[in-house]
Amino acid sequence: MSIVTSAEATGNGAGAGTGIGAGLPSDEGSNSPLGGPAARFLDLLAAEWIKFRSVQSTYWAVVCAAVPSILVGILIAQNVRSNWVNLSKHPDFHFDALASSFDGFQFGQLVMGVLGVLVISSEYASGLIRTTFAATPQRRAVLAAKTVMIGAFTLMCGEILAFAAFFPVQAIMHGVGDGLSIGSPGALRAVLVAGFYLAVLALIGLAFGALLRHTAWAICAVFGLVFILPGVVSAFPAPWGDRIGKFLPTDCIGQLIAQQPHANDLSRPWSFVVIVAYPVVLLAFAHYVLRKRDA
Amino acid sequence: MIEIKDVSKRYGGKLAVDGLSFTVRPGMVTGFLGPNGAGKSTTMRMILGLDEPDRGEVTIDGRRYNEFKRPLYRVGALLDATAVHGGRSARAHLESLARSNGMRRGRVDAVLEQVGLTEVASKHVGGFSLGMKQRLGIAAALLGDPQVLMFDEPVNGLDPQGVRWVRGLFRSLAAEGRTVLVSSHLLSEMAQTADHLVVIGRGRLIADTGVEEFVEAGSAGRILVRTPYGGGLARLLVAEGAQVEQVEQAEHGMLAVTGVTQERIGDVAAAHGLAIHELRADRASLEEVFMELTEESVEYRASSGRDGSAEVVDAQATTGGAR
Repeated sequence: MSIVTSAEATGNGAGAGTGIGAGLPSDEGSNSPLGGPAARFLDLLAAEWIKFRSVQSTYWAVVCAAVPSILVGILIAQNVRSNWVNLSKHPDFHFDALASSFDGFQFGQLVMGVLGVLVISSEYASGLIRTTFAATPQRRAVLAAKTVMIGAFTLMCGEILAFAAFFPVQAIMHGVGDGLSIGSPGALRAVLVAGFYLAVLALIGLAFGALLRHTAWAICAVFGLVFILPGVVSAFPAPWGDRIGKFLPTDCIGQLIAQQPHANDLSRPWSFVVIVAYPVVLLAFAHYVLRKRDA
Repeated sequence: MIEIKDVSKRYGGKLAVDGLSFTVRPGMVTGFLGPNGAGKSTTMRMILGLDEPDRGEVTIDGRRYNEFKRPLYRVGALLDATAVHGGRSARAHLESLARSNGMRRGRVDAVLEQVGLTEVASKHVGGFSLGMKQRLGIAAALLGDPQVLMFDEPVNGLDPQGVRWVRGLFRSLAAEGRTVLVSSHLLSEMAQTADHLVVIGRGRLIADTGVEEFVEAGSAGRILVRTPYGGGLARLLVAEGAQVEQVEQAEHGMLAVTGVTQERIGDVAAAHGLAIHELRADRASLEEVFMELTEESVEYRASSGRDGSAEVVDAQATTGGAR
């Protein structure tokens, strides 16, 4: 049987020969012009991308995130517009056409969170994670590659969805003179942050997946953070409900996509900092744990 | 070369590997044997840096696995053939691995061809039989054309042609000077593939020896003689200083003789005109030796010296010793 020599395989001429004594360090980046640290990380990124795009669940998740994210806002806007005459008589009536564009994102955020979870939990579920870590013992580099890959992908999807959610709703609301343009005050900020928020959820999901290593538990954690916890916290006796609630990602994003800032929430810059802090802290913890644990 | 030095690993309250030391040398197939739960997979995970030993050291060519930046060029391993994402194609699975170690695309096609999966490369792995998954796992191990290869129970699920193919593959990899470690709980399988055996039971080393020596160590040097003149021959052999035992009460009885050589038995029988129908060394089957050595209470420990010859020693002394 013939086996291609690794010199051929690496294409850098520094590979180990087939002879037993030929222990040239083909794995050493320093010996190879192709093997520098930067090139290596790109390799890991490419490997993660291959894994991500080669399973159908990725495509289903994108569809499942897109449909409600775009449709729910449209349906609500249609509803508001058709009842506009009655609604606008009410003295307390206020409709935030900007924030309402993203009403569907509360479903989209969950799907993105699940997508993030699956990027690593599916490897734990199948045992593939051992193959991955055997191929790349630098586990934290693997997690970093997953983070960049899923972060970039969901950021792109998120921004597309945010714009796709914004324009139809505004077109509908123009009919009653309540629509905004992307140039309206705060509109671009809200759209960009709403898209960014979906990537944040994916990264929170990834961190939970890495920490909990079980798909179901990690999905429960994402679900709990964005659906259960806000309800629980709001039930706290005043003023604790507000004091704690304003640090939840759902409240922070609400503050950032609203036309008028909410008095009870954190300021907008702080809301953004808190939103970013969630994935950063969770991923930092995941990095720490990953190093210590047996695979 | 894989070196395991005094390695111990505990999971919760269970000591999975207990003071294990052995070396896997290049140029031969080393069979890694033990009953299920003996610690084979744990040891292999520690070799791959997946699990950290509580004590001791595991090195490959003198270096810890985690030091390798592109380990697939050094070590190829098949741990668990079913550890693949069922929704991914065989090619995508291999491509992601190859890419993570900076390999060219052509390598994937080459190993797919080598293991005979080219036809089904774009099919979902979830539809593969266990045997096909084993081939895929072997393909992954071969990707980097490494000098050190490890296979955990690779024969499971393979059809007879697959088994023959895999044996030939291991032998040719070893013949190319590579280090090949193959685990199995079936000794008969290893007998046909391995040159050297490392046998463990309950996380401890039981034997580190050549296949031949392993069998001889377990057979205690008995010689079996089949003759219609059992009684007469037995008396003559006892007179020669041998210990004789009747082992079969068949029509033509079988004697088990220790203490004299086969030649001497033949000469004695010929000198007295006693016909012998069979005369052979009692080579216990590999399975018998294996069962004996890996019984729950490990009674014997066969270890090989530097010269490779096997000796059977009482293991009670070592098991009773403080660890």
